[in-house]
Amino acid sequence: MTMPAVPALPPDQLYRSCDPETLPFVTTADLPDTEGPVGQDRAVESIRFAIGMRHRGFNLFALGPEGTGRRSLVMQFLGQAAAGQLVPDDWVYVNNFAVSHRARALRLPAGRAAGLKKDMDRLVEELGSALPAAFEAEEYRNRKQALEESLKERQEQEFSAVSREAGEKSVALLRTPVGLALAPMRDGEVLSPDDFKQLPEAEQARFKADMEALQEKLEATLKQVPHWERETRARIRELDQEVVSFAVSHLMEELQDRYADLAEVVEHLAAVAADIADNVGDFLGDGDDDRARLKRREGSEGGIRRYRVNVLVDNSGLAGAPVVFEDHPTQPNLIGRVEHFAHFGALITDFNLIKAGSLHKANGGYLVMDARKLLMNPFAWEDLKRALKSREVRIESPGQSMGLMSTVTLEPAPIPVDVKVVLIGDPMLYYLLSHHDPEFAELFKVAADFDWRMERTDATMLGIARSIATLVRKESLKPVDRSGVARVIEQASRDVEDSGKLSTHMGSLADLVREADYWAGRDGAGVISAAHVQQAVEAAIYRQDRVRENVQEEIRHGTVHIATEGETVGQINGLAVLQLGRFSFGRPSRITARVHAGKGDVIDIEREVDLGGPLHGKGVLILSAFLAARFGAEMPLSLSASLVFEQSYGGVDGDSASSTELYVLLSALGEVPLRQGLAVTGSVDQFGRVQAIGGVNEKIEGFFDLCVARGLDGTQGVLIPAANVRHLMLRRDVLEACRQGRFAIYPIETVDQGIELLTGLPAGIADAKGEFPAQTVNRKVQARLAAYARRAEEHARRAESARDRRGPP
Amino acid sequence: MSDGGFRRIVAAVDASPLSLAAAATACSLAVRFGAEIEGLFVEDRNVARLASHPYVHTVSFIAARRQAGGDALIGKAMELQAMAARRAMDAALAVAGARGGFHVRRGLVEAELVAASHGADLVCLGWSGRAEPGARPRLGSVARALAGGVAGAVLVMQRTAPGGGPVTLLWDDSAAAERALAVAVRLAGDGIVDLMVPAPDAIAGAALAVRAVGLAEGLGAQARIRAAGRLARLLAVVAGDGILVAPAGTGMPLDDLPCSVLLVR
Repeated sequence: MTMPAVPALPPDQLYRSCDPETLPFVTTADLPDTEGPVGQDRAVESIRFAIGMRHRGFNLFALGPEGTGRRSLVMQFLGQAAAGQLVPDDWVYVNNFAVSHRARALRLPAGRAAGLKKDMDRLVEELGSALPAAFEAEEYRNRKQALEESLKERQEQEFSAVSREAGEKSVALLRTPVGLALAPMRDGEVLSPDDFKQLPEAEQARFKADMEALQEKLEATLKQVPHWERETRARIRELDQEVVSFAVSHLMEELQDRYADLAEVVEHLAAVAADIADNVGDFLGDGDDDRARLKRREGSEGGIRRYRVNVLVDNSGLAGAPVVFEDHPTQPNLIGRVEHFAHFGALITDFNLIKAGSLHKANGGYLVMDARKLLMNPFAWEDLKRALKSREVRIESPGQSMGLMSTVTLEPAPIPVDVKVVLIGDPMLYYLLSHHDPEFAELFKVAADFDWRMERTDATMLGIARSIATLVRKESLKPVDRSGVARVIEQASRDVEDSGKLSTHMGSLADLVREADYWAGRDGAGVISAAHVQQAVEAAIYRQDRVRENVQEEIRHGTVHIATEGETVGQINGLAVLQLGRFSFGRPSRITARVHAGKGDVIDIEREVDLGGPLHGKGVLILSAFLAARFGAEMPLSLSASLVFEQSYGGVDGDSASSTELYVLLSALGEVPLRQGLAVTGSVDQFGRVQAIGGVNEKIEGFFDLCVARGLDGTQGVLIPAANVRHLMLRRDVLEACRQGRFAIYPIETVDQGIELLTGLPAGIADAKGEFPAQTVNRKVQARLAAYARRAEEHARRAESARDRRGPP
Repeated sequence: MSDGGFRRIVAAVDASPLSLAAAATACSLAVRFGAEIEGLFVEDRNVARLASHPYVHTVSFIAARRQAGGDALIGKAMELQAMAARRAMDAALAVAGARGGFHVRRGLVEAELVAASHGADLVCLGWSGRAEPGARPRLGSVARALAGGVAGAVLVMQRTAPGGGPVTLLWDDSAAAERALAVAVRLAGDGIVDLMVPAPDAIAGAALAVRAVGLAEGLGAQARIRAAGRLARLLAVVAGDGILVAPAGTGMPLDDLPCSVLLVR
């Protein structure tokens, strides 16, 4: 075996350590709190811009991966901005006495809504005792009784007059079950029909004429009764209003003085006074008679509920503009709702049951929501947009807004809103909304793009240290010494798979510190050090790596064939990454290739059986193109090749194995054995350049774990794209094995470098005639392809001769 | 009836709300005193003559005009009224578990009831009959006639709701008052009779009541003075849900009864 042309990477390129000595503190106790998120300058600027822009449509969408501090940052900046802004007005709903189902909205200066409610409650309470007292007064009762008696006397007088006249004319006026009856009478008894017929005709005629006349008088009297009753009711009402007016006036005047500066409130008070005068029975309605029952409205309070004040928004407790985070943005929670209560089997409501939504509560300030939750709740997104576009909140149930409700319900007056909405969501949601919802761009003109990673600099490392210090103080954790902080920083690089960058996912880092605190506690340590952080990392992996262990075990037991020593033609170790929840790990895969004479096809078996994804198919086509370009310039490629991930029963996607597949194809074509102690990852382009892939650390570690299990012999290692070297943040044990020369990582730039490492043979460079030197991999491949081409040519020639012998068909 | 009990009771029923209350109370008393009861509905002869009378004019209360075929309706309405009265009486008998029957007579109502009351020691009837819509409820002519025209006791029902209130005796120290006391003691389930004593003043009233208290003790009951003074003032404090037992001839103003009243002769 010749020495590889590409040397293994030195240990310092496999892991970028953070030297604790470079950190300017002993423990996090020495550090002040962080002033804000680290590495989110772009997002911060966007948030500041959005807050500063009060124009329409400049709402904010904070996009970024979860855990990057989007919400805390947004809330922090909004809180700061809101503290310097004016406290917005209060809002109340009151009864609309003109159209009762359209509740009126009144705006009051901040803090005065509760006072108005209290005042109206007190008014109702005082009227509840003052009005009954007024109506129980002897003077009132006497006056009312006099009016009622005069009605009855009038009726009696009129009927008595008719009755008297009837008696004088010997006509009986009788009350019967079907009304009053007039009949001829003699000696106090009604004449029977026979007796009547015995009367002289003149007397009969007189009776008839008298009865006709009496009937007309009776009808006229009966017709007058409703008029008299109406007159009496009107007089009683006037009397009632006179009494109410006096009882209410001194209470109302006090309120009208108090709210003289609020024209709408004064107007409402006048409407209340007028309504009380018209409906005073509601304050006297303890009677059990039918009339009193009818007058009592729903609920125990009856009709007096309509004089109450429903405080929708009370900003009395605020020192600035409101900042509301709506954790459950359903449509009712967002725009408000009208509640109902059951009353004798019917659902009843009134303006007192109007409940504020978060748009009301955030009016004049800021409303923050999770975009995904908002979109998941039916009608919430559409109603939010409607409110933002119309700049008013209209409370409608989904049934109402869709026109499904036909029953009478409340239509509260819409309330004007001036609110800055901040949505927090992942980038995909932002892009989907931008693409599919034309109103989105119009309403959310500012995007705060939270990066999931940042440059690894002294400043950002110190920023993470201060974030840890803040967390430690906030959650009363043990201080973290600088070795511990250094280890957290290293893990932050590992999390983003880039030794030159750090993760901005503070949620994960905070969890790591919390878990390290637990292990430090188990150790009885007063300070969290690197060992505790390392223990937390390993414990977290251990808790999640059952599947990885199972996979490794299957390979070790030979159930899944993966060779880690020797050399084999047409077989190579590829590397894949499996993601299970938040844990990902590398899994070696055996890739094989078989070739034979054919028509130049490379068959991707995974693709043929629909297990290969489009990116994998693309990779295979690229490597086919590379083969054709390198070896098909002078002769047709008369081969057929098949590629397969052996013992793979799930889907395969991505092009990170395309270089691996090319190596194994070259091995099969050139019949050159490949070193089985090496595993390969990397995609390839049509020129044979090896390109970067993802999950490089997990892939290396996956193969390393298998080799360790079988015993490291110094020949094992992994070929990775050279472009991935900066992403290396390998585990300590891998690092140590590489340091001892028992394992190696090779940075590969071209396919030729890789094939040389894998075969121990030079790849070979074509001369001017396009021929490769002897004893090179490419020469062997070229020779095999040439042989296939000759056979194909001979086959074609024989077929042509046979056709010639048979003659024309 | 010298023992304060009743042996034969007549209930005048015309299916009006107060007459139904009278029937129910009569049945209840019949059970309590072991009396027989007779429900009576009187078809007013004058009204009956109106039915199919060719020269009758009927004027509807609700339409305020002469109604066509009103005379024919009268007969049918009277049939229905009698049927309703019978059903009500049957129901009252069944509910109370009393013994008795129901009869319909035709004639002048007052005269027929007075005649039916012969041999009865209690007549029960409503304070007023059916009132015209909007008209003031007034003491009915039948109640007025019976209150002064029968030999036995008369119970005039003034409330439709069940009673249950206290038994109050109007005590004027007369012989009729003694009989009324005996009735009141029998009516009072708890053995307590409240006394209302018409008198110029409270002291005079208390003096008058002494004999009533003694008599009540003799009957195994307790009489206590509730009020004494002028009659009009006494009536103002009578409980509406109770029964006022009064000797006939005290000048009780039946037109303004505060509660149901039992007049004892």
